Amino acid sequence: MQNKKIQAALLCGFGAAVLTTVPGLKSFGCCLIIPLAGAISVVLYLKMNREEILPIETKTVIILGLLTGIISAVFATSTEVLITFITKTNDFVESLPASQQMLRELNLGTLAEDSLKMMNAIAEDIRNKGFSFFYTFAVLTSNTIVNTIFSILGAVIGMIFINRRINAG
Amino acid sequence: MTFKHTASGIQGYKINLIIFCTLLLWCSGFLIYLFFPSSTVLNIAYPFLKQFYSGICHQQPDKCINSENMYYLICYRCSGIYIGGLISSLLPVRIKLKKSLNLFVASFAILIADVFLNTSGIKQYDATIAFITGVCSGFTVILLLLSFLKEQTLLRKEILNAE
Repeated sequence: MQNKKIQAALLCGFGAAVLTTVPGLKSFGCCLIIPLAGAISVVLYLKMNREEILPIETKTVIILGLLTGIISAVFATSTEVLITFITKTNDFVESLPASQQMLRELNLGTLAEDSLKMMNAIAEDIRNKGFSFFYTFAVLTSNTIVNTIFSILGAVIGMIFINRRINAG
Repeated sequence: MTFKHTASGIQGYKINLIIFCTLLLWCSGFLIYLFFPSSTVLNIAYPFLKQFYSGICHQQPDKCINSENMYYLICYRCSGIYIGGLISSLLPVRIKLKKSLNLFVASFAILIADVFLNTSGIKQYDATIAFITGVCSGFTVILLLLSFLKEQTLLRKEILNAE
């Protein structure tokens, strides 16, 4: 049973991660793709069990959503790191001059200088080696938080729809 | 979801509080710039928070709230979604799951229709409409979640009483 949960989450998480890296679709990541992946993982899990476990339990759905969110975050980060490694640039590096200009215009003193130095070091690492540990860690953390929340939400909403249909039918 | 003087009431109140605190923490990340636009620490944290919120919003400058060379971290629609959710988590749930499910479907259909019309160029982007559709959607998502939890709590209580 646990194996089937991982299989369903792996499939949906990977699919969602791939879709979220596509330019244009990226902005629909949290609103549509990740919650949809969470909901589809519930449907997939039911199909794997030949719908024998209906009505599906909240606990199962939360685990499925959590797994889908974590897996999609890991794959999305890996894809982004790989693309950054090949191209040696990313959104962070490209938007850095604008961010630096904004910080300088605000004239924030020594604290801002330290922040700018750190941002420059990250950008330098990406430009030279195609990899920055701090950047990877930051992206992985933010992806994990965002994806798990939205995936669990999607899975729970999916469960409400599925259980409603059973009650109606 | 406030059933006063009952066990499920206390539980419902706790759930509301947890959801409200989570959403408040989430919203404070971008709303705080509206209240403290000249805070040094916040301005330094801006690029990092921008990176964090880039996962949940396209952050297109023309669709974001802006003032004094600074664009806020998420767009009008996304701000609406989270603010709607925050408002919803403060209110007691008094409608049934079926009704909240219908409201959720209707509000999301309107939101998706608005996004489609804007993206396809049929209709020009309107920040007020984007914000309102966002608020309605966010409100109904949390309403659906709370009414589902309320139904679950009542169901569990019924089972316990039967036993």
